[in-house]
Amino acid sequence: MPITVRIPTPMRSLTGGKDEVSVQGGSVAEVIDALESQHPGVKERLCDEQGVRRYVNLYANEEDIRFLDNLATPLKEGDTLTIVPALAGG
Amino acid sequence: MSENFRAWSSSHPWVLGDLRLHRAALQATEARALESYPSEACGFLCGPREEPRRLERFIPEVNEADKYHALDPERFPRTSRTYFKINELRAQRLFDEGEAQGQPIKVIFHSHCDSSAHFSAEDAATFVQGGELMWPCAFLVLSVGPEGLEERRLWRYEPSEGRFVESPLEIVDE
Repeated sequence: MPITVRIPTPMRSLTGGKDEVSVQGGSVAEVIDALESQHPGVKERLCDEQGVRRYVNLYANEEDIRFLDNLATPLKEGDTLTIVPALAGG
Repeated sequence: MSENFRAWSSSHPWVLGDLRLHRAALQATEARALESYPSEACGFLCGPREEPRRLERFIPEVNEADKYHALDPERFPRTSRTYFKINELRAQRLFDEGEAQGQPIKVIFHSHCDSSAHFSAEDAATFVQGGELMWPCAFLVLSVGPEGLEERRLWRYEPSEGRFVESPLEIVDE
């Protein structure tokens, strides 16, 4: 099930300059693992041992996966996973 | 040297700071900071691509800090009193639209309540990851206290020092 992953500018050095990557996976976690196998280093930028890093956001279509089922959020063919750096601060 | 920063220095030269803010946009930004107190306000300043230093419009944004704090207080320990968070997907689209319309977003704005207009460690840790600036912007911080507006400071990333430094912000009437 190909999922479109949108890559933000600061992470495109990890994807050979590509702004979109198509990978297989039925959940956010599977998509990240598939991304990691194609583009090593991506997973470490997105996740730590607790899940999605605080300074990164993953949107399954229109919603931050933190408000869905986090890394277990299901994805189906045609869905888009958008990676966006945090826009936050103190 | 940050690769992004080097590229953005020519394609998005406002990352270098030293900007000119139209007074009407400043007033809109200040009004937002005041009405949001004692919560932090946030938003963007945009301006014409062909005049890289010019900021002429304020775009207010919703501070979603409390929504994230309610969901996950461990990972998001702060409330809107001392934290701001913008919906990043919406923000990404605003950045894309601004670029397409020749009115790029040049500055990310937020306010501080009962504190100075410094660039906090939390701001720096968020906006630079692995030595790379994450958004092609300079940063405006306004501080607000119980008596009203206190301080206004523009910040920009200085990759040679790996930190954010203050930068001139001129207020213009034309």
